[in-house]
Amino acid sequence: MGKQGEKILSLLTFKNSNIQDNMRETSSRNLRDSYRTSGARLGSRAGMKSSITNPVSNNSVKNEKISENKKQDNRNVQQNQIISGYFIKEKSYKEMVIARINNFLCGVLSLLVLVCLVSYYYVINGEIQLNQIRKETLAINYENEDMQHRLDILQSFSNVDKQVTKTKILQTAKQVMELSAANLPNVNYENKNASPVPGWSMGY
Amino acid sequence: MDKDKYRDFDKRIGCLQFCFLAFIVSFLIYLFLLQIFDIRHYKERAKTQRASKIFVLRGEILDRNGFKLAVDETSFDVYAHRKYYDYPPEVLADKLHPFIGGDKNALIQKLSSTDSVILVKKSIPRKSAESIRALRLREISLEVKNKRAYPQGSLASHVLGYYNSDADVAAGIEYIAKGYLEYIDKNITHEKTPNGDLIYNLSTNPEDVTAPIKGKTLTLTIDSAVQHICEKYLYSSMQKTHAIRGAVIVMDPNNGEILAMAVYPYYNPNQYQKYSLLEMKNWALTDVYPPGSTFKIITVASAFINGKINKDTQILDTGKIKIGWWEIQNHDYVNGKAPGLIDLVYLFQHSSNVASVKVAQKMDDQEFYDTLEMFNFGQKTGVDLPAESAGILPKPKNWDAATHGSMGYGYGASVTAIQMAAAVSAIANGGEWVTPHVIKYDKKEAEEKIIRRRIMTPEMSKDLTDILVESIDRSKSIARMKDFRLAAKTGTSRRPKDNGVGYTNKMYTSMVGYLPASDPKILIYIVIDSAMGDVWGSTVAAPIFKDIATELAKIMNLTPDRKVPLDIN
Repeated sequence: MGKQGEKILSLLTFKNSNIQDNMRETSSRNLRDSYRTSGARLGSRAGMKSSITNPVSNNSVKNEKISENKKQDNRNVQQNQIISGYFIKEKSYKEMVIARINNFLCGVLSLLVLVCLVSYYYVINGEIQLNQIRKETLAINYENEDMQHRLDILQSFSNVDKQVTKTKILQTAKQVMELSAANLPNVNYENKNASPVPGWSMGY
Repeated sequence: MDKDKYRDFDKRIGCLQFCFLAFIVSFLIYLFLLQIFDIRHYKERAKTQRASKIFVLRGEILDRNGFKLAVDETSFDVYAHRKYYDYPPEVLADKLHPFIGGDKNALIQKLSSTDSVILVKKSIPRKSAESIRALRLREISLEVKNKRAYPQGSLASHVLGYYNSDADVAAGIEYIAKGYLEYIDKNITHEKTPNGDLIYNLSTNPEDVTAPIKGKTLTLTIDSAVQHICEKYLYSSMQKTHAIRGAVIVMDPNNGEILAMAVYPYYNPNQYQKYSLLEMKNWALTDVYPPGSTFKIITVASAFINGKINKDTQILDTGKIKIGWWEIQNHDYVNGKAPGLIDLVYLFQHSSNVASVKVAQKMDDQEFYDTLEMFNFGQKTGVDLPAESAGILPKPKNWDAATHGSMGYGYGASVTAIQMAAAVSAIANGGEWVTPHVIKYDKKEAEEKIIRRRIMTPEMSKDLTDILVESIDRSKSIARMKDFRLAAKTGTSRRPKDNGVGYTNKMYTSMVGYLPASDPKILIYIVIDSAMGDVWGSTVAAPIFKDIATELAKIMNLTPDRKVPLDIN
């Protein structure tokens, strides 16, 4: 390894030690903050003022200093961080339950939407068919009415009278002619009881 | 520097967020106002937008046996819209002509009109309209409308009247019962898509949307068969006597139901436009005339009611009498022939004017007037048909001796045919006057609309009926019936001039009668105006009365009330 390599290695170890220091500081600060906020929460639950319950410092000047330091540290962390990206956060049990319920509800909702779409399709389809049937029935009903009217006209008194007059079916004879019996030729009665012989021409 | 930049950026983002938030909030408020506060207004607007025009057919008119007298048919008017023309008028005419008919050149001319909307053809039938619709011409539209049709043609045309849906003009029962015929039971509202498809909802009744919506069906008291017989015989009488006009009224005296009202000249309500108003007028209700001798029944009845005479009263008939300046004589008065003391049967049998005058003179003016008022003379009968006249009955203060006397034999007053029929009907109905009517009412309606008024006692009415029957039986009247006791009286009166002053040489001949006299089922009143030839009630009105009475007795299956058939030869 040359001089150049050593220089890089020392730089890396320096940076690593820096990162480690920073992380340590940050974690201790986080711990302190969480302790402070939980203390505040406890205090507020107990009905105490936050200034009394703060275990770290009781005066405001100290608080300002700490917040100033914190901001400074944050800036340092932002400037100094070298690994960036998306890291999966740990989920609490509650979050998991909520997520699960959400997923379930989303599923149900999707199913409902699907059912709605399908039923809407069927309803619309049914309505189209119903409308078609309605139109056809209405047309038949109107046609039936028209035919009934035509029938009423045909069987009306005036029409029946007219037809009877036209065909003269009720006309009585003005004169009856009397005819003498016709002179029929002699009829042979010998074979009158004999049954006729069926002929093929009759359709056997 | 960076810090300030971020702060500015944060501020801008904040402003933008605020704007978005304000917009969303105001939008939500707007939606809230629109959908919650204004909901009714918008609901109404939506409804009217989708509501389809409900096409309602007028109700049918049926006779008492359910025969259809008037129905509604659907027809279509064809319109062309110039701004949508896809084809030249010639091509359009080619397409439409097979379904519209008529002259093709005239159709082309019509379609070439510069009007924005052109009425191409009115009232085409449904089949032709469907064929035109199948052509899918966007420049042609069809408007459905109802057309009144009368399947029985001219039968009972003066009772039915006519109806013009375009102008909403009506006459007769079509006019009187307009509200009833157009009434819809259910409040049917349909919502439709722009394509004309129905929007179904939970309250949509499939029956309502598939059957034509109709108004109420009206049933009349008219019997088509009776009406037909009356019209047939009236027409033949008109042809025979060459009269100007005639009317026959057949009533059920027990309940005032009019079974037939034949009024000549007839008209066909399907083509009412072709007839004059005079032809379409129901003159049996509108026109007045002196009733003549048929009024003698009323005179005698009035004297009965006022207790001036009874069935055994005898009157001195001198053949001729002078009242004030007016000389009255019997129609058969010749060379001083006087019948002397006569009974009431003789009065009716010989239609004695002198005896009638003397009977009338037994009452004073007020008594006679009041009784005539009870018979509903001088006022409308209240028949459920339009344009009824009240007739003319002068007030007693205007009467002189001549008016009083002439009133006795049917000249002082002027009556309508329906008044006369209703008055004699009261005598046939045991002395109770009933409002004549043509609409068949239910019990509740009848109580409201039909007036029943007792005029005389049943005994008086029976006595009068017996007198009338005997007068017919004793006479050689052509109207006598073999199996039925007929109470009837003929009448002849001179036709007044149109200006009301004096008389023409034309005659009104009439006859009124009811049968079977023991339990009257039908009353027939006939009046014929200006017949030619031998013009008497007994020669013009009596033959047609006989024909009608004989036919009606057969078809109505009336039970003969004569134990021994009358020898009418």
